[in-house]
Amino acid sequence: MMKMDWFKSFLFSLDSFFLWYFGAINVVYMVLLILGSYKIFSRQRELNAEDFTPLLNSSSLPPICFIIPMYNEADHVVSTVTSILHLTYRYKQIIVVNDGSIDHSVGELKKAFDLVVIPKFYQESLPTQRVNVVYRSRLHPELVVIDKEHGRKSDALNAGINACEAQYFIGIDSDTLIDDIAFKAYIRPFLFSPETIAVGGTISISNDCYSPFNRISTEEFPKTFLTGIQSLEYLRAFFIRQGWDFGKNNFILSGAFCIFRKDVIVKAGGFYPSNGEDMEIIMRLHRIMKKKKLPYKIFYLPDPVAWTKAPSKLSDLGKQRTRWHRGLLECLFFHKSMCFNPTYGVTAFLTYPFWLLGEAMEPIMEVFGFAVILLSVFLGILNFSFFLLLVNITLVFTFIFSVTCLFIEELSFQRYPSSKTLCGLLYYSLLENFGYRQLYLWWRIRGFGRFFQTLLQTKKGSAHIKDRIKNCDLGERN
Amino acid sequence: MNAIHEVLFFILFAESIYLLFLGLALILWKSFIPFFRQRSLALKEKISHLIDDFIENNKKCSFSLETDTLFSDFPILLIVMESFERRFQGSPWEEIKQAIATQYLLPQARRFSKSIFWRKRNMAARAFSLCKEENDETIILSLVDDSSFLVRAKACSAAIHSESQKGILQTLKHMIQEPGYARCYYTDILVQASEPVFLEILKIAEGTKDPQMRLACCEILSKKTIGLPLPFLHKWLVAKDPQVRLLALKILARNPHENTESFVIKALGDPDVNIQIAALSCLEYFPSSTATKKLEKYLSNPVWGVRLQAAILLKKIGKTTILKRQSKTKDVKAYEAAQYVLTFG
Repeated sequence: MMKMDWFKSFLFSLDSFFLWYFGAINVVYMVLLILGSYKIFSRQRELNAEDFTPLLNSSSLPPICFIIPMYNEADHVVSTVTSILHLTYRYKQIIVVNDGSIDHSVGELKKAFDLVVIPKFYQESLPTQRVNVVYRSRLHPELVVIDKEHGRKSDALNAGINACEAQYFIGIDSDTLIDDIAFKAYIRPFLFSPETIAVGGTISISNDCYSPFNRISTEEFPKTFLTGIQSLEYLRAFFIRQGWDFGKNNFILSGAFCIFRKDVIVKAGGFYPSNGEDMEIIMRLHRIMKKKKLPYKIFYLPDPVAWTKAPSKLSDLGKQRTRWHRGLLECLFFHKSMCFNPTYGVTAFLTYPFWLLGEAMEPIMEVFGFAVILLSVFLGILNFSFFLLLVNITLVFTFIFSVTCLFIEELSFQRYPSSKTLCGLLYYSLLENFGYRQLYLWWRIRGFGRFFQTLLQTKKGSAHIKDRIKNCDLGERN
Repeated sequence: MNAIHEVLFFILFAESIYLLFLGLALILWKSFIPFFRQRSLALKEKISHLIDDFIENNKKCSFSLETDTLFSDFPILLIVMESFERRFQGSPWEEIKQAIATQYLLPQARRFSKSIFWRKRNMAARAFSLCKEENDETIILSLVDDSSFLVRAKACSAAIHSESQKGILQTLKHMIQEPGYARCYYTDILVQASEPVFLEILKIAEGTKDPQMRLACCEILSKKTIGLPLPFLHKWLVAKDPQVRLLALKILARNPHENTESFVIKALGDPDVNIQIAALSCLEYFPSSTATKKLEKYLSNPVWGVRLQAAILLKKIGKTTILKRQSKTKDVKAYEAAQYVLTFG
């Protein structure tokens, strides 16, 4: 009997723990949302004052290199390359890296752009899988295609960096379209802060949209529940990243579209083959620059620049989310020495712990929370007020957060100008709590499983990354 | 337990109020924003129409600058004027621009130049880069050193347009201090400047002891065909600093000078690959048989950039037969470079 009483009081205390845990996370999210909103409105004001036309028309502009890693992307790659070729930015180099595709991706490119074999014109500064052939387009000489043996996305990016002749490069997914007007805004951080080493941007979902003249129209968006729900997730995630950007403490810039300074990435050792190579490189850059006390800035702009294809099948979405969560855990493991290490400042005491406790551990907490509730119901000791409060701060909060994000989006960039789209998204934000949220939880738990399955390999990766940081020759400030 | 109940009730109440507020705000926003947009567009259209009328009807004004209230919205007027400035040059436009600027833009710009808000200072700088009066130079120079890039960049443009000596020097200093894309912006303002500005840059380049300043001047001079004698070029072609030598060769590539062939031939042997490439591009002006032989030799250079430049130049001076006779079995490097240039030009 005594044991039972003790167990019941333990369950009561767990109730409070979960309440405090989710409450604290929500407070951080609210703060990030407020900071993010402030950033978005400031940016909106700046947009009216900015006129880069003289700069963008100038012949003194340095070239920008677009690196498109491609693996079995025969359906999208031609339209992506065409979209980049049509960008009004004058000097561009486009490098498509075929990462050993087994479909007819290269054939499609050959057909569309009249590719001819050219000599390998560059020295390899980053090690990659063997490059078989290098092609150049006869129709658009700025387009180069590198056909290499299969590595991973990171390996393909590194192969592209080797061939890149520009000072800045953009890593872009082969199913991503770029908005011409928003793209021009991405020059801005390099104008304002020469110490900028990376700039990321807001990514939206291009499913159910059409793109006349390199501008995206969302009139018919969203047609399916899955597309709508994913665009809401993207919206929430990008608002939070805006909040982190306030203190220049962002840990992730989306791999679908991101500008980097080439020399910094080469010296940092290039991209590392992990499930979250985009997050890993940003964390590594923070670590290197802070350790060496070098001035640097990593920006995250709210301008909606790139539109990417999201999974349209539940199974594909599940795989993607599992991979993302596994990637997050890997990155946090690789850079665990940052946590509470005074060398890394705010990143160590705020950003890293939040990513670990608020993002990575959240699915575990949620599962435990549900388990405790079920156990309490089974034992007949469910505290109903606590239960309602918990439901409120988890499910209702997500809904309110989504509605606020949509409201700010409508006041600022108006990616979804039609009322029908807005109403559809509001409806989905209510609906996502029933079924989808639980499914998402399961995918993330699966991510945990996969992470622990490959822990040994991750440990080796951690040592490799440590070596890359140690060997990084970016100079040092005394 | 009651306390939890109260907290729950309070949170739910607050959430309901918040959602209600958001919903109402969204409806209001959706209803009124098209109206404001229409109003702003209509105003722009009316101003554009009046200016268009003036330009097309050969300076006959269908409006009164003194009494027309259309011009009193400074930001909209500025945007319209900037769009006209991009499209028109010369007499009728310059006249109406001067008249509108004197009456509306410049007085407001002078007030805005002292504002604590960067957006207002930005508008002031933009107005000055459209049009200015003689006594505005001090204000423009103060804006040239503004803390915001969007203000100082536009102010530099204004200073360069007015050919202000101090403005040119300040722009060059910004060019040195702000690397990356900002440098491109300042370079471009200076490259597009008038001849007196170039003469001033030449003067600074000759007289300065600051190596960074000299490099900045060289960079601008290397981007334009000037058509002026450059007596100091010989000195720079043999400078100790490889960066100066490189830029001097780039200036030479755009501005061929007599008695420089020996410098170019010497530069071909420079250990710096970029200097070799720049020297190769200068050979275009000395198409002697020695140069052709040198170019053919450079087709086999271990560096791709050098091979490519040599092949490009051979094609440029009409020696395509040399490119065509390169054989894959004899020298694969020369063959690749030759084929590359024959395909892509």
